[in-house]
Amino acid sequence: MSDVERLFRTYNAQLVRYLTRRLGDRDWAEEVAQETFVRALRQETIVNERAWLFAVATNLVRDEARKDARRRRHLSLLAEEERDTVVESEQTTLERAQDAALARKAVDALAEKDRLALLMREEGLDYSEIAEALELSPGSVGTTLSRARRRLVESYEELQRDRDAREKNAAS
Amino acid sequence: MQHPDEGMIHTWLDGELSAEESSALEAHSSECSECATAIAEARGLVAASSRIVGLLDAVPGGVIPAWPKPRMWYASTQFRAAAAILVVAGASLLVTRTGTERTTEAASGKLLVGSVSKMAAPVKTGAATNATGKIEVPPQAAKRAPSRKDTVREKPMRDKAFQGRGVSASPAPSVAVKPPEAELRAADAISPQSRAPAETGFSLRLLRMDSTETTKRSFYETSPGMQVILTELDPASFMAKAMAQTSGSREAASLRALKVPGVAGEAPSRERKALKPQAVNTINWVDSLTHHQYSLTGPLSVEELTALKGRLLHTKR
Repeated sequence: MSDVERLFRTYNAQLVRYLTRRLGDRDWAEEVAQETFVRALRQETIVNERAWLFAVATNLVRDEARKDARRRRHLSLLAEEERDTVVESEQTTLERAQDAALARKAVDALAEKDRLALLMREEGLDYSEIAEALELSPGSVGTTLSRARRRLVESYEELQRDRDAREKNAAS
Repeated sequence: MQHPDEGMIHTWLDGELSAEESSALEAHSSECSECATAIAEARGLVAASSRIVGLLDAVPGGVIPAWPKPRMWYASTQFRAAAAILVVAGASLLVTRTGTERTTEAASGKLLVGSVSKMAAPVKTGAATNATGKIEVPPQAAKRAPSRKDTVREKPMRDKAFQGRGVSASPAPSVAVKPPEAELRAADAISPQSRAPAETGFSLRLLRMDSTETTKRSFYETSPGMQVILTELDPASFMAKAMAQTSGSREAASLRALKVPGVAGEAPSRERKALKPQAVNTINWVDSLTHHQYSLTGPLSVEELTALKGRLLHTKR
């Protein structure tokens, strides 16, 4: 098994999940993940594999987003539509979709570094890996994560309250 | 130990604190209710944020739909129509040029239809006209491929035995030769002397009509034994047909099966010699409304055909 094949088998699922959470689109996430592994092919030596892969993937997303802001705006619009037009037969599915929409909004509301650190942590990266991938000092990762978590939860709860209030108004 | 900040608590909860620092924090929190509350809250935040992030996994793939594939420039209706006209016009030019060369042979006494057949032009072979102007289908052709008689036009007439013994050898100056696709201008260059005397007051009688997928032909009698053929070609259907056909098509096979030379060979050579070669002309035009292409072919001068065209259009209206 080649190194890249091993890397792919070991980290692809994590990377795709991280990118999916980051981008909100699994297909796009898979594209970026594949490109990341292609970059790994060209790399002679990788010291910290996971940190390197997550850093490259993060940079790819950032570069692509910078190059194609239009697409990104389009994604946001479509994501909005997706949230607004979700019509499912099962109540539980509908609720889940609504929750996912709120989660997306809350995550998007985070600062970039906070969001990435949180998503990387959720994929099991340790502090040193997050620090390396995001070019942070290792001592600041805890602070970054604690801030990200608090803001995420507060933002999500606020969005939930707004939604509940709207539903209440609509019902009355 | 001082009260740990929130970052340190999260670091500890994440298992990233050193053993020494962890022991100190645990010892402090067991005595400090404020820090114990902060730790409990941080646990809640860690769990809640994980749950919220997990909700993102419900997002389906393909949120960004593929952009609608831009229609290629050559797929536009206008381009297709233009391409159809171009193909027909090009074929007409090619055949007309060849036809001009060939018709000089006809003017020098060779039989016209045989010449036309050498132009790789589709030839109406399923029917010949006898002395009374009545159209007869050769039994052999009818027997072999009765249902294909309208499709034989695609076959280039390469049989040398047929050349020079064409349909025009029959007593009447029949013009059972009209290639709809090629817009054949059969004998524009023929000398006026060899042409039949022009008739100014044509009687116009529709003898019969036939049609294929792409063309419609109407056979008119302008005077006893004098026929003209009006061919109407729909460029759109012609393009579709042309694309469907390849070399060695079934049409070509069916043409071979019809044994066209045999049809021409039925004309007695004595009568052939007695007859003067008859010039056949063709005029072409395109209907500006329907874009259908018309050609009118017959043993008349171009001027006569033009006059006849006016009558036909008038009649159609």
